[in-house]
Amino acid sequence: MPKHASFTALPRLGRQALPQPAPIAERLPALIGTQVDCAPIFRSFKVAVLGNGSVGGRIATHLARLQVQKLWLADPKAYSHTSSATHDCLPRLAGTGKSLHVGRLCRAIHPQTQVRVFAGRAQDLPLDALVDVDMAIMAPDNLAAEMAIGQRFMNLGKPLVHAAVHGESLTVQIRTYLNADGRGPCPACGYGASEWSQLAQQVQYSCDGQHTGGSARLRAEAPVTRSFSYLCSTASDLALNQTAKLVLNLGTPVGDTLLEYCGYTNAMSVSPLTRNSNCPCHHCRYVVVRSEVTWRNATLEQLARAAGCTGDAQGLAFTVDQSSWVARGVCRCAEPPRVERFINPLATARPRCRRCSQPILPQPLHTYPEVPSAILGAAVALPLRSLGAGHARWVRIRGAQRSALVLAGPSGKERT
Amino acid sequence: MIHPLAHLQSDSGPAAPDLSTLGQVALNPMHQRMLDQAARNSGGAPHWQHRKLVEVTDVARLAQLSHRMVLLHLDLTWDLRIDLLMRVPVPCLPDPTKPLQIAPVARLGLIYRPAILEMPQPGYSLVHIIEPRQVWHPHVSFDETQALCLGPAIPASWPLRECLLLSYMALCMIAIELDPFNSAGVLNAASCEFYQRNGALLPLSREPFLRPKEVLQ
Repeated sequence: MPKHASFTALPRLGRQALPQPAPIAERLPALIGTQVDCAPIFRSFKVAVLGNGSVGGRIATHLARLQVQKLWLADPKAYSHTSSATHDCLPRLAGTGKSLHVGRLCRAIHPQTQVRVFAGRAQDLPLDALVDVDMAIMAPDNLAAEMAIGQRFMNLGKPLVHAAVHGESLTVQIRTYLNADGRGPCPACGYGASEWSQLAQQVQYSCDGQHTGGSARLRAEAPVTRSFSYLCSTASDLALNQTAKLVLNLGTPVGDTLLEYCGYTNAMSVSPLTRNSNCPCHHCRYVVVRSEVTWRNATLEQLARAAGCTGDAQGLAFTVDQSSWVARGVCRCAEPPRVERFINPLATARPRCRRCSQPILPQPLHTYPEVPSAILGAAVALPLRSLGAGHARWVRIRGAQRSALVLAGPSGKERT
Repeated sequence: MIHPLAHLQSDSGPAAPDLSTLGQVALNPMHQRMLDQAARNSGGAPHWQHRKLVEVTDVARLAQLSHRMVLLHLDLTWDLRIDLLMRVPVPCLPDPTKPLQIAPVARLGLIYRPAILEMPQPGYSLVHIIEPRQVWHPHVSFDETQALCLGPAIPASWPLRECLLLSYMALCMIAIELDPFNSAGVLNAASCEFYQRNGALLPLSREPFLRPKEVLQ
């Protein structure tokens, strides 16, 4: 089974580990105007930090100090020789992966916190990788990542806090997306002409992606963060404060708001975030369902029924893990042979044609990463194992009325 | 009254077509039937369904205006997928020991995905050459998929008709990249060196897209 991108669990610390930290309850303040006991809330908190640079790295260590239950960290980059100017790191760490270093730091601060790291782009994670988080905090350095992460957590219905800095104007912006029902704002809702133009300039694809047959190798080229170190830490601190307000329900509501601080004027303002009716992103909250049926014997029809998507029987589209539905293939024969199976583009083993004995490769025009039920035809009633999808971990079902993410197996089984 | 510029007008036939008149082209019954049938099975969000219909209508009009394309199959069930023939010279090298062959017609597969509305797409993700096989072209991958690369990235929300025009120019080698070390658009580095040595072959055609010498029946 080809390996897909996913998180890696950091190993337990050895006997030489640092002394166990005291419970956080000994140091938490008695917040005014609330009877909420913060300690157990933080102890059960599961949060993803996407982007572990000058802002995200500090956010992660703050969360470790809050002794959260679980942290997922993702960042594709390594420290450079100039990173220590803005990042909370030492110059000797140049070349070290950011997510790995920050992950180790978090484990050292609070060994009981489970830490998962991924040295890659958050967009490359499978759809089921972050299903178990309570919320996410992102601090990416490019618009493509912002859009993709915003879309993912809108679909999952999980709150998302976005921390950003603009060094030239000494500005910090913290956007909090509630994602309650899929009808609220997303990061792309706020994009103007300059952002779309910047996105087009930032996004570049490598032709290597065509040869791997997998997802395109996207490079999101953004300039390095030019800011003061203290401004980055201000952003991380404000992001954590918004997170704490959201989680503990403190003070004024922060859902779907933009908090701005300007270092020139020392002024701070809060304004609402609104949905843009022309936003091209898919504003929809998925119903997340864990399949009770034995996965290998389940059919797509059964999964759609379990997810409550049967009303759109003619208008459903299925995405099965990271496989594609191949209706017809290409070999040496003149007539394209029927394949009608889910095939993983990273798999090296290919079926062979009975006539010409050559490997059958997917024909692009008849290969569907997201396949409508009209193309599947009778295959919707066949077991997943007979369609080559017995090892899939999730199925996404999209319809005009309702969309769902069906996961294999009971809760608690995590793919690391 | 005789128009002052009447002596400059040709008596041989109607004015040459141009893309500015694309929106005025009325679809013939065959194309209208194809569109109606495809639209009945169109799936996805309402704005995506509308966009697909607009794009495929433009492609059908382009086929009628140019007399260079024949639409074989339209699929609007989720993505917009088109199987079409285009009269365009396509260089092929089935046998490396023999001279280059030029096929007169290409069968192209176009895939226009909903993601293109949100962000730029890979230049190789839209067009594949179904036939002929063993295409020998710097922008075409020399494998079974035969992806045609139209550049580093296709801009977001780029019209499909522009992709077709670029495909024609790329296959004719009117617009081409021959630097094998340039990763933007080059999928067959060996053919770059071949065409650098055989520059007299380029371009394969200087014929404008809207004035074919022969009508594709």
